[in-house]
Amino acid sequence: MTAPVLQVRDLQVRFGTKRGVANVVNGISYDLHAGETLAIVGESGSGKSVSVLALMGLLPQPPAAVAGSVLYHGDELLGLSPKEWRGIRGRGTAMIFQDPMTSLNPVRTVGYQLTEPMALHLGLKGDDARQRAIELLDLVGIPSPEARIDDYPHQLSGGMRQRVMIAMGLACDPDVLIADEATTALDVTTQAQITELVDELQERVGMAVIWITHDLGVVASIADRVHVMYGGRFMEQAGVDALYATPRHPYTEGLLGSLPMPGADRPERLVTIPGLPPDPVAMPAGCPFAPRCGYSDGDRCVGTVPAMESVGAGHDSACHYPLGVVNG
Amino acid sequence: MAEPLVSVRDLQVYFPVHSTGAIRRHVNDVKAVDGVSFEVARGETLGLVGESGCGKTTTGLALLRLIEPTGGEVVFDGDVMENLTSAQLRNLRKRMAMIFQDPYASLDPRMSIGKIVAEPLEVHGLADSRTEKNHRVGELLEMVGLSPDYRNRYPHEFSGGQRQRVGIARALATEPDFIVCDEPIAALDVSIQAGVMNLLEDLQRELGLTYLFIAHDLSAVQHFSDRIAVMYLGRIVEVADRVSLYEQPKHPYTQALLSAVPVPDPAVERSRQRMVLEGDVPSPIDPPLGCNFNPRCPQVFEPCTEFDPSLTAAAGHDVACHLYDPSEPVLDG
Repeated sequence: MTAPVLQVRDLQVRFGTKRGVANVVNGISYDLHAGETLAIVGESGSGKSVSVLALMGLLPQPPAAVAGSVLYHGDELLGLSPKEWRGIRGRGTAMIFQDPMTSLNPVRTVGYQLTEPMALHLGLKGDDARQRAIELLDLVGIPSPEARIDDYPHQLSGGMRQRVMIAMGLACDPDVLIADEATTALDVTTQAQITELVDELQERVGMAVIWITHDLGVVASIADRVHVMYGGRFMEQAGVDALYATPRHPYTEGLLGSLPMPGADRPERLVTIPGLPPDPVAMPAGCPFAPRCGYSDGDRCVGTVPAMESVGAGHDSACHYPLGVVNG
Repeated sequence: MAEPLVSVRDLQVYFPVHSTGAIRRHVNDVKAVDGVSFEVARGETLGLVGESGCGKTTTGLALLRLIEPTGGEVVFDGDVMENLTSAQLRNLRKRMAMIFQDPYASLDPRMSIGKIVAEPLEVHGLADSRTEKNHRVGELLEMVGLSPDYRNRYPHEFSGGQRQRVGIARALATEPDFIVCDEPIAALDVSIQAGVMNLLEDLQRELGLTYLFIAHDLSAVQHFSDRIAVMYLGRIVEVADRVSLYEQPKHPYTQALLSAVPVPDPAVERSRQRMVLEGDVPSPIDPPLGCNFNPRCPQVFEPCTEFDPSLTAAAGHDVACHLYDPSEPVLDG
């Protein structure tokens, strides 16, 4: 395998709050390879968005404190100056945000917003930049892009806006695209259009994608590998098939069981996970999931954080008692 | 089907569009709900699905007369709601309730949850004394899985799932027969959604409730409902029981909607053929001539752009599509 595009090692993010220090991301590590789609799944408050904002250098410090290491093609990203960041962001790594309504500038045309990064990174100006912007809008499936390019965001529908966001992300040929809940605000039929589009573009351009979502259905349709996040840590990481077929962490099992499956036969009741996600200001000392876990032994689980250990080929689980694995 | 508890006939809700300028003229209408008819049997759950802007929430609101319909009628347990005096309507209101989508916006932040749950009791004069009221509030909170000791706490002290439970307790306060659940789980986290769905199911079984379950999430609706109505641009395009809607969707829109729902199973996702719709939903101010779905429909043919298909009943599976119109020649494929 080639060297990873992005290597994240022991990434930690803390925030100082009035109530104390919030430990939002507590040491996550992963590699991202070219052409791969990595999904990070988690509920709100699990730290998934904050973790990617940190690796994009988008968290103001303070209040945030970011530690660990993020290597992009072998170069450390954390600790870059704002000027150095500008050379990476957009060109090397790009991000699509959740809500295209608030993340596009309402007083600038689509064309202006698309060509702005091109001038900075590619030195494209005037008609050349405009031409490329029209090509990009065409690429993401916006009909009559020559006309749409002079529209303002409010003149476009939600799906179209999200396409514009994607076009902006692709404007400077990044090799890492981070999609943070990119389809959550959209209707299912539009969501299907967008996931197909990203899939298709990825095949054509060969970029690596990190897809942040809480929707396990979307993950099943797009991801190669999945990391399940909870309480600022990865609970389980596996290839997409293995994760759904044989979840090895109680949290993953609970999440999958709580989903209503479309289909004729319905279970009498959905599995529920009792309790609430942990408060980042008062993280449990041991496994963050232990207070809600049906398998917790009340001793080791509460006392020590389980390490991420292999439970199969390319399948790791951070659990003292991984499901389906006989402990030695 | 047993005697329906609620029946809706040709319901219309139009919102007027005015011209800008010194003289505001009524120039057009947003046809949010444009001739919707359905029935909900006693003890049944009817799911109402559709994408944002299709009019499903407006239908729910008009049903409870929280907005005045432009046309059509709603019959609740034999009473035509249009004909009622306001006193009679108020009396009837006890028997219907609504659970709202956003538990952060639907609870008054300055009222304790005890007050929130007690308010319907006070409005309808259902508690004679303070002790009785307190007792009933405690009972309601317990029913939805909250401790009665929480009654003096305020909404901000609760999580999203717990707030939604408060909303459910409030809806149950007047012992209604019929509850409109408008996207009750959409704002909640995945691991919390299941708990609220189970609670709603338990309450239905215990109290014999009838639900109209409005959602855009087809998986949740399918899990929850007995029958499902699919809405598109102010109209119902298909109504069927949950199994046949899923196994034999007839309307091309339902087929597209089902194929777009991501299934949490990678093997299924890889093998299935996705039917991706082109374009966007047309404006409800100026819906297309003929069938509302015709500009995006992959199976469009001559009558679709001219005539509006009506919802035709066929063995408990109704569909509004020219492909299935008995008066039209049946097409192959």
